[in-house]
Amino acid sequence: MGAPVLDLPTGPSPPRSPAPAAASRFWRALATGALGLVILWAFGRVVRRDVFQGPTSGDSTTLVVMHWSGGAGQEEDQIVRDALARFERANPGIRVERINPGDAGSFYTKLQTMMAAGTPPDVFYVGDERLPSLARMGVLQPIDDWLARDAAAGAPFDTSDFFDVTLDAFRYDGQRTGAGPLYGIPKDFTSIGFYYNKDLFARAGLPEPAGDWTWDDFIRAARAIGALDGCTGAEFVTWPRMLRLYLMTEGLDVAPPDFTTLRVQEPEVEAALQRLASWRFDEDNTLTSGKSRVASGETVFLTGKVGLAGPFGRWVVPSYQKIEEFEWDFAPMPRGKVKTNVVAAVAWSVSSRTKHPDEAWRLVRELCSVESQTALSRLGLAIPPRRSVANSDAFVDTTTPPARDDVFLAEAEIAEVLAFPPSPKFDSLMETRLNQAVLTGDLSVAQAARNFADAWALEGTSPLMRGEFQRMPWGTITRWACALLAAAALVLGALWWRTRPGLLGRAEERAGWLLASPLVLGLALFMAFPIGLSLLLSFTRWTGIAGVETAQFVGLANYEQLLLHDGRFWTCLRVTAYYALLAVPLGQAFALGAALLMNSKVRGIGFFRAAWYLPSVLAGVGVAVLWRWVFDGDGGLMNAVLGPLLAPIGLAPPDWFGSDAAVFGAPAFAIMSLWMVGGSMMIYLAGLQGIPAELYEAAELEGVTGFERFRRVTLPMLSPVLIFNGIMAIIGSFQVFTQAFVMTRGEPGDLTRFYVLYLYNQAFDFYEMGYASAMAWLLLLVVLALTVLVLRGSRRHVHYEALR
Amino acid sequence: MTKVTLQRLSKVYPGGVRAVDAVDLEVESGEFVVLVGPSGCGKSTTLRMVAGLEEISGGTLTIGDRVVNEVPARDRDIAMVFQSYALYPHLTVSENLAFGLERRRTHRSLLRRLLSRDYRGAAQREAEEVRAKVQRAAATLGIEPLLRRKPGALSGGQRQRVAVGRALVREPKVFLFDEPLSNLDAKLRVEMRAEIKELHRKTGATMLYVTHDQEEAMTLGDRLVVMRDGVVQQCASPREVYARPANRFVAEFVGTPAMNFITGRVELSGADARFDSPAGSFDLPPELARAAQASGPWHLGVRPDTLRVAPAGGASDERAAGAPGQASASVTLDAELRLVEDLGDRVDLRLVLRDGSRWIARRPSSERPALGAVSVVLDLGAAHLFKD
Amino acid sequence: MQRKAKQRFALALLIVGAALMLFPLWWMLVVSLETPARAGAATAGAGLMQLWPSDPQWHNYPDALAEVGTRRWDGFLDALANSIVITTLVVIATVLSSSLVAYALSRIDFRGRGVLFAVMLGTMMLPPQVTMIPLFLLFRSLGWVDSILPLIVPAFFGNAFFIFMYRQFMAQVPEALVEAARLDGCGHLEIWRRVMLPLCRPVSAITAVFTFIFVWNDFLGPLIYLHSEEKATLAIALNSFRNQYGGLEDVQYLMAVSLVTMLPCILLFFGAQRAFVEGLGKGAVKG
Repeated sequence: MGAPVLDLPTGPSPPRSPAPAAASRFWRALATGALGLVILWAFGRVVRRDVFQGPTSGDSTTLVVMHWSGGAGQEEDQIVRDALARFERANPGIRVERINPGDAGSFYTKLQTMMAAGTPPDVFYVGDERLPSLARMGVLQPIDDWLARDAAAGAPFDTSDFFDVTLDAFRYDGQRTGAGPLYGIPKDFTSIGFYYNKDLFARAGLPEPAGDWTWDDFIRAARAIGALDGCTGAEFVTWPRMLRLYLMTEGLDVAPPDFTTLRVQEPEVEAALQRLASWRFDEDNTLTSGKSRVASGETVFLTGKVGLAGPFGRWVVPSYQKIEEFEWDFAPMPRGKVKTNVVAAVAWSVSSRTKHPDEAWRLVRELCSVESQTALSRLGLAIPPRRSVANSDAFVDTTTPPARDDVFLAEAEIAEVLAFPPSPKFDSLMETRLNQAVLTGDLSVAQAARNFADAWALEGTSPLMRGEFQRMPWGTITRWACALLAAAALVLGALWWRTRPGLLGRAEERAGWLLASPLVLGLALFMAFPIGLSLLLSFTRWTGIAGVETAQFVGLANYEQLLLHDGRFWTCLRVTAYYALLAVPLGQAFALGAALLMNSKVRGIGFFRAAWYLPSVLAGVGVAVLWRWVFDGDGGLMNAVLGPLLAPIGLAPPDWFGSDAAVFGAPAFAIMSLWMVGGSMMIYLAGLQGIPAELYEAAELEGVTGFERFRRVTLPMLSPVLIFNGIMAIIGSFQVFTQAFVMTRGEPGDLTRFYVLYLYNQAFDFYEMGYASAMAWLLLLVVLALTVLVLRGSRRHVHYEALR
Repeated sequence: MTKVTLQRLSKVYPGGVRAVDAVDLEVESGEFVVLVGPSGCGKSTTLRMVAGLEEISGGTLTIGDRVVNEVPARDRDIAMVFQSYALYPHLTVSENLAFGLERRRTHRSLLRRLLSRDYRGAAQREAEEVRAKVQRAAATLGIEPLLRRKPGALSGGQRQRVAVGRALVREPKVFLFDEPLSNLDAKLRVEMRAEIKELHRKTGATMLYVTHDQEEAMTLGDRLVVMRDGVVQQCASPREVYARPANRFVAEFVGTPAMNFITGRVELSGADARFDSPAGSFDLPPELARAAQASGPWHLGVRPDTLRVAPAGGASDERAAGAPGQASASVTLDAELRLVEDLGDRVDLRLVLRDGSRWIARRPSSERPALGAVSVVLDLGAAHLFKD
Repeated sequence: MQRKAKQRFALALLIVGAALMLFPLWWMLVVSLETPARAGAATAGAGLMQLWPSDPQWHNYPDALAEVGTRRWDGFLDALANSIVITTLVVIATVLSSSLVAYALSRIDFRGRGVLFAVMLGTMMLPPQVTMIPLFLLFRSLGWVDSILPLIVPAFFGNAFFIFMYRQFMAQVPEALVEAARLDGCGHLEIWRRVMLPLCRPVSAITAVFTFIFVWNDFLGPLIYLHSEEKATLAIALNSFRNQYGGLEDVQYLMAVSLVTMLPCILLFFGAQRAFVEGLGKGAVKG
């Protein structure tokens, strides 16, 4: 493992002599020159683009369109762009700007910020699961009037061509989905089912799944394949939508359509969930373990060792089409008491605040035209909502797998509308609570169901649900704030005047404030104002989507909810504290040890310093992918190393982000953070090098060596640095976000949901901006208290004279 | 040539500490004045007020004929040599020397280059001038070989020279020195002292010099200002300060080894005066009697080199001469010789008087009395009487 | 003899540590050079670990880069240019403003200085999430959305962390040096530019490198403020790329683009490594 690393040719060779050698100077000049050229090129490119080909302003109407790229990336971009080009050609004088923030998550974050700022895009994607919350906030424009008007004008938009269920998914009447005004025209959708490995079915001597196969057929097949050598019967994902579909096939659901209470504790529901859990946990190799984060979901099917994978929609098809090793196809959702299915759909919606509603509607018509849908359909990752396109060869194509494209359509015909609660918290709660029983097996089904029901009930009795709140009186607040600021300024000014220094001193003071003015202005504009606003927001309920003027004043209800009614808040706080408790001392000890090592006089120490520091410099998706793999419960690098080591003492390595996450989830992140201690290490190293050699010599004369010397000389001299690093580490440990966001998204349960991640969820997934502001303020207080505590507690042990 | 006038100059720090209290001083044009005193006496603060580095709390400061209380340091046209030399570590010696001149060049800005047609010529002339001045200053101080080095590569003495050179090259109205020699070793210090004196002679510039070393002060200054607790104790030529110290503090501070004292009572009776102390009693000669304006406790001080030491009892005739009514130039006191310090050309004799006072007598090295009881002979003609 | 053994032990630890630290990078490099099948197996395959690319597919790099964004090559080049422009401007602005403010805070005596400094330190504790939405509202009202201004302008107002670092460093510069400059005719601006900035070079190096790395990798800022595709930065482009290739198929492209994105950080880091250690030694710590 070490060998290839040592071959890295990047060892730095800093010139040690005062006058760098001519060769080194040459290289430096070359590097500087190259850097200059690159920067020049970049500025040239940007300036030419933005200045000389800037937006052609004028009298044209501009529409803004925003979408994301699904699995098809550039191709989906191209399809949208083509549609826009067609539209611009057909509608001269209208210009369309296209925004694509990337994936759906980034899309919604961006959509939210744009809406909050009062400049939403005119036309944008909306997923069916977000429809109730967005419609309730009044940010979507109902489309029915346009449909009626176009029909009257003799240019009807033919909605009858659409699968009914796809349209119904975008109707919402303020209470439930499936009825009421239409809020979007579906651009594509998918029905749900299982993908199966034909080769494994043949090997197990099984018939291919029939159109009306049952759960009994399903589990029989899974068991038979699981009995094959090295194979697993089925991957069964338990995303909320899929779990509800599973229950619906038994005529059940987790909640009544109004979502006021839950049905999870009904015996039938519990029994159905128990059946799923038993398949997974009580049988060997029937269902995948649910342990592995990497080898799960859609990708596990690619290994060819899994008989069935699902319930999935059409979106996996493009990647499955690349499979060459085995034959596969698509099977409908097995039936229980009921034969049913649901769809997942994405629609083009129009903003209720658009300035050009008619043009926006014309654009939606173009984006959902037969032509666009045909193009989209050829990508293979979704079903066109128009029956005419779906039944054409653009979708039904027997030459490429899956052969049974018609099954998707048949399932779509019987699919029901899946009702979503208007609170996006529901899905998150359901997933985190029920998965503890049906995915990781930490809890019994009854216990998980009770947790889920309790949490949802608590949500219902939240102080934020207490009825109507007044609008936030922004005008009054602004007036008062101005008055207070003016008064404070007057008082300060008077004090200022009374203690003013002499003329020279005043000139000096003027210079001081002038040079510090960037900071003063920066603090006022980019800190004081946002902080003040966020403090005000923490007393409100605000979606962060509708304009800030719609915020309701709720007093201390956010804080009350946080401290008394939100169990997840305490879980997240506990997880974060657990992490901090591990990561801070461990990390600091490791960093200090590394710094001691770096302080030794070994040849090529510069290279080692650089190498040890390097990981802290790197960030990004690639690294996150790597770590997810390292800590994977099944076959991750960490367990591959730990397994043989622990086996002799009769222990098995933990399932870090799986069933052992309660104990090992946060530690995994703490271990990961060890990899990033380079910054602290460098600061310790600097501190070590600042300790005068005489001190060590004196210690040596007194016969103090080794550890004793470290304890009696090094540590005291290093104490201010220790405090500095310690405080920084504490602050950092409470702000862990990116790693968790990218790697685990807080799962399983809430066991790796760090405080800031939950804050982000509240703000951008649950549209509770006020609540998130309150959380941010509480976090601020916690960190502040800890810092003060550390400073107070350490006062007696820190030797600041070491700094002189 | 510039005169510097301090009128009731004061410095009060925010906490209410009076660092400098109403200092009056006139530094004549071309004069070399040394501010001297123990650390914390306010001499550096005074200098820094003159430099403009410290704000003036009260009084007026005049340089030339301009009141500069409110003039920032950079516009006072003064140069200062710092104790730590304060050389810019990132610049070479010649850049260090040229730094101040460059700041004062008028033809530097790009704006002027665009506006003025003759810019280039003027800029070149000025740059040439700067170079010449740097060369001249370097030659004066003998640091030409160092011009391309950085301060980090210089020895203490060399840095000191560069620091002086940086002040010199600017040809300022006034030179200020803030303990410039205290970071040097003893030998180098004596050498540099002579050089600074020589520099003053050559340039004839007005110089204000701060030191805590009275010997340095005596050798350098045309005039000494002895300070204590922010107050000027005496302001006079070195000779005057040595010969006629204004008070016991000055007397004790100036001269090595320090002046010896005994404390007693002076009884005045008419024109006669008698000094009574546990160490001995004797009549005072008329000039000292005149100095003691009133009866009461007084300190009698004698310089170590005016003492003579004789074996015990060996000076009895002189003791007789000290009889009442016959005031004489010398008296004899009993003492114990504790230690003889041989300095080569002379010896310091450490004595303890009857009242426990510790004295030092400086004698030629040929004299070497035995340890034990001795008689000390004071020349009252060279003695001083101080009230406190 | 014992000392020698100790040294050898230290060296061994250093080598093992360096290998551990660099391994992920190497692993990414290996995966980026694999065929799709083997790359997929390396990331998904239970414990399958390769130390050497079996058959280096160098064309993965041009292939992957061309696919960034929606326009062949132009997507990548635009993103690269945008990242360079934003990063360069922010680095320069941060160094200048932070050192200027730190100069005022460490070297000019004015009432309110202590309070200002304390408030500034306090803001370092603030989770950035607190100010995100209000800031967006602010920039929106200025009409700066979909321009690089919201990403650059705040840098001109100094950064608390770097101001702190500069201040600690500057506080150690002898007062006499500043006074000498004042007597030499310098105003505060000139002292800052002629004396302090040259002396603070190690801190400036750290500031530049840290800022570079942060801005280069920043994701949330560009995501919120930049709309148009041709204005996207590399981090944004990489994210879109991840969604495109984040599945296990074509993970080698993802790794290739990730590595190319990280490359400037790595190069810069090795280039500035010495200034780094030196500067941290002098400035960063002395809190």
